Amino acid sequence: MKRPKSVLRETPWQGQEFPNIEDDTVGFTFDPLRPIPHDSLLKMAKFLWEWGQEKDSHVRLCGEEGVDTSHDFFVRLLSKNGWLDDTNIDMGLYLVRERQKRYPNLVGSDWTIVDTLFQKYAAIDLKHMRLYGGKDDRPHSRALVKMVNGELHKWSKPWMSVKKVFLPYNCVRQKHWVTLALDLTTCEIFVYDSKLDLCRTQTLIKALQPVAKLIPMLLKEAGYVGGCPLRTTEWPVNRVTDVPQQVGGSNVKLVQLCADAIHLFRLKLAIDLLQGCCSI
Amino acid sequence: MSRGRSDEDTVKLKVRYNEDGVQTLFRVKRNIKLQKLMEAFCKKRSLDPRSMQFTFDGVGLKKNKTPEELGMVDGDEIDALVHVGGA
Repeated sequence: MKRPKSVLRETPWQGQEFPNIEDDTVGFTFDPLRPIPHDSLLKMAKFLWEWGQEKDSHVRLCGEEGVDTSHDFFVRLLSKNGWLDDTNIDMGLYLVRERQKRYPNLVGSDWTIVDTLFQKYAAIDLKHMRLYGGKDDRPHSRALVKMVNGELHKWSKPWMSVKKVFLPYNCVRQKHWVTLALDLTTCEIFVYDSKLDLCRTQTLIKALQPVAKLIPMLLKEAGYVGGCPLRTTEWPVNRVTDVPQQVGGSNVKLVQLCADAIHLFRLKLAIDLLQGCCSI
Repeated sequence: MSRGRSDEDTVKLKVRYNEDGVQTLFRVKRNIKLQKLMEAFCKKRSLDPRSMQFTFDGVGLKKNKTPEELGMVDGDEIDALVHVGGA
């Protein structure tokens, strides 16, 4: 039997004009813990409930550059402690990049962020490396080179113009997301992990070794020229230990604050995505 | 009269599955929606289409686009990537 065609749904905010304040942000501050307006929450709840009643429909997030998402996308995003998949993460990072582009004076401009495709393409690239017998002079994935040159993702910046690059990394065995920060001035990789007890430091460093080897080769191929001499061998990986923890940490207040904030961030992300623009 | 599709109307595309690196070759009409190709690949490899993401040169493929619209040529490679999740 032929599957019914998925229908495109409009969000309550679609077609709505938002005030353009990007030219004048004097007096504005970026507050990630700013409360969400009550009417926005109600509007979203009503929309998601109605959407849940209707099968085979999707919503296009963030215009043509975004993705078509199903109701499940928001169920994952808004379930307390629910797992996030790469689509959730990528759409969140899309808004982070947009925020940086629109409000560089509020969030800083000496960094950039790439999405989950980096890890996937790096894995494919590393498989090729084995096929090439580990030769360093083989061509790398075009997508990875484009990422380094800031040509792949909308709102992204060339790595040459920044000091740090952040990227999400999925520890596949542990099913856990961590953030990698590539420091382009010291040529080191820092790992920010909200569940330190899930994976031993040595195991994590070993898992990241292929990426640490790939980065200098990729920068070379992309023609990267930085302000500091580039380390041409494997970059050292350091695990940052003083980061807020999701659960099981010794500081209960910190854990509670972190958990509440995460739920707020998820709600904000859902509303921003449905509105089609980033909030500050 | 030949009933087969002419080479001008079709394009040969490779779909590479990121889990095993195996490439599957498809010959498709230039004006066919890529959703058909994605579904055919998933069926051939016994995969759940909801668990897959398709990219071309690092850009996510839209189901309603056609090879013609994306300027695809013979031998172009589409990546079939498995969605990953976590806490």
